Amino acid sequence: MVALLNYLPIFSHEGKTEIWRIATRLEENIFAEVTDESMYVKEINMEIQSLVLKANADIQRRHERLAIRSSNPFSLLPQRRSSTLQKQNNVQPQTQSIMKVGSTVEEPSGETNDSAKIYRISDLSNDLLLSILSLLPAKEVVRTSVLSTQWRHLWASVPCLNISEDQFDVQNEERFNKFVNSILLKRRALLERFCLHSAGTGHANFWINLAVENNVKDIEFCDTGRNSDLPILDSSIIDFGYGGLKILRLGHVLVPSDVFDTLNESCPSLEELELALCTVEGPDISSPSLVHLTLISCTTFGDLIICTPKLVYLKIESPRYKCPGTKKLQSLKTASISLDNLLHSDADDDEDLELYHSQILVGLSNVQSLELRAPIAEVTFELEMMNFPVFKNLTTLVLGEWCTASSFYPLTCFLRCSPQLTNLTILLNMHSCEYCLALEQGPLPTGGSFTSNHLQKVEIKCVQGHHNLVEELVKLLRENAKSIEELSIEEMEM
Amino acid sequence: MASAGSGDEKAAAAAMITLISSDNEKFEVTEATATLSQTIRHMIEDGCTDGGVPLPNVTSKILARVIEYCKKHATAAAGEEGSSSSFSDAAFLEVDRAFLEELEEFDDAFLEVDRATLFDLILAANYLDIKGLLNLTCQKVADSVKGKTPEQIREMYNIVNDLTPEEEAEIRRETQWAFE
Repeated sequence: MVALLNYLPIFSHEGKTEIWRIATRLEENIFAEVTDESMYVKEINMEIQSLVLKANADIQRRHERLAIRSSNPFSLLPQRRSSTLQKQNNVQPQTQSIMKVGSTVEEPSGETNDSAKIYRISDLSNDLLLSILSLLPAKEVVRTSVLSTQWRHLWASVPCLNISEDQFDVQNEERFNKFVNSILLKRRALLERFCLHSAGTGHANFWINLAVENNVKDIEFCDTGRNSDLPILDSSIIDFGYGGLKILRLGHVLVPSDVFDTLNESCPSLEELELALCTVEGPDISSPSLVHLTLISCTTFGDLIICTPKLVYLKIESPRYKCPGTKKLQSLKTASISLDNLLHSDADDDEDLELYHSQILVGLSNVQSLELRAPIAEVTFELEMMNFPVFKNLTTLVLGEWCTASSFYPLTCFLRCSPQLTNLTILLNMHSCEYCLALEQGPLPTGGSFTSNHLQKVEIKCVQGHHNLVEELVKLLRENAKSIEELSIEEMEM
Repeated sequence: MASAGSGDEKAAAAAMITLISSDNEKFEVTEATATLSQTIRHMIEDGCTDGGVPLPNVTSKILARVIEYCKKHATAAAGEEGSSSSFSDAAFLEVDRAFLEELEEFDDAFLEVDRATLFDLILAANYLDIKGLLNLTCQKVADSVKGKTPEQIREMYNIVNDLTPEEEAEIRRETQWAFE
């Protein structure tokens, strides 16, 4: 530690306080790896020397990397057309001779007969090679360093890291940890995308933060569930507000409310958030920049409100315990909510139906395409019927079997309140929610008529054995929507 | 001439662009198809597509394939009218899913080409700035490399190993953590 402190002023002069944090972590890292003091000091010195070298070249390198990043397929649009254009001019004659050879060559054995047939992987610009390397698992990326001189240092500039425990022997956690530490500390480019699938230990939080400190734009972290506990995303370690985070995908982690505070308030570039099998501690998702939100099999114990003014796409699937509510989603175009596998809570005070009331539909009123699927009697949706908005822009609607309850009352509500609707699809799997049936909820009003002038195309897909229901449905639609031009009925396999 | 009526009712949908390959073959495509290429989109925005767009880096054989890709994917993007966002392919509604599966099948079949063509497609996708096609073709190369030893990769793509045995040993030492 003393040795480290002696060297630290070099960095702090530059006023970069975050260097302190990095340095401390580096030190911790080295400390964990070494066995005695002399080795420790030696390692520290080496690390510091490399840091100084890095710092000197940093500005220039950033410029270079920005250019490289711009051509990778995940990032924004490439701007370096002129250079690749020249490159292509050079190889054009070769291209044509290759094409004359024909299109049957696929096996390596046939490749060396004729020099014209050389596959020009080394003729691709480094930008394109990096685009290809970005799609490989990180371990294989580093291993390309022994291919040739051209490839020797390429791996260190790859803007996307795909790290998965699968590539390692799970019994040997140390080896995996060493790999991730090494690649994160030894690579030399800004990081565009960081994808980590590992057991969510303390290391994962540390690694994610290293990625964030590299200004990563796109993070995917998925806990492999090898440790039985649900790992917690630790906002005291990870500062999501540090860089320009744009995409965040998380699988099987607990996302505490302070992480949402940061995402909502300090991530002005955040556009896409995807949470799967996560436990989500509300109280809200209110990022002003978010465009795309997906919640799959996420657990919420209290109320979770989605109120993101720029949200365009919303997908909620199989929420656990309670479906999130929505509020003022004025930019929303497409929403899909499926409660087909909604897991109801086992709490004793279930009698209070208010527990299920989330105000889901209210915020969706601007949507153009909407899919709402649930089994028959699903209380969560039925309660929504009490507070039904007008869907003034809705043109495409997909409804599950829940809409057939009480002589199609939910369906008629939608048709009455969606003046622009042209396409309707009804998917009847005919599942019912036993849990909700036992709740003895007060009955919905029944049936009702509507007039629809725009509805043109109706598709009904139903499992076998419900002819009467389908007949009734067709009769209802034919009587009330004279504008229907096309009505198809399809029987689905069970 | 470029905007000769194609029978489409909407004027916007009928706007045609002529693309000219390196071997001087002309291809007429709709604007919706052509604008999958950001390069061409910018040309259209700058109003310099009259008399056709010369593409001196793309042969007719490759251009025909690229157009085939763009036509298929333009219909996919059409549902998201006016949206240039990267999310236009999102499988959101049940009704879209069948189409997306069809698109995947198309992509798989589209990639059934020899490596020379694949490389030409990568270069064309990069030059024309067609993100989806670039990603698709790069993925194909990445998949072909996956799980291969350095020797196999060198052989597959004719990479000349210009490292001395000492250098190679040194690299393996430096990156030992990836070879364990």
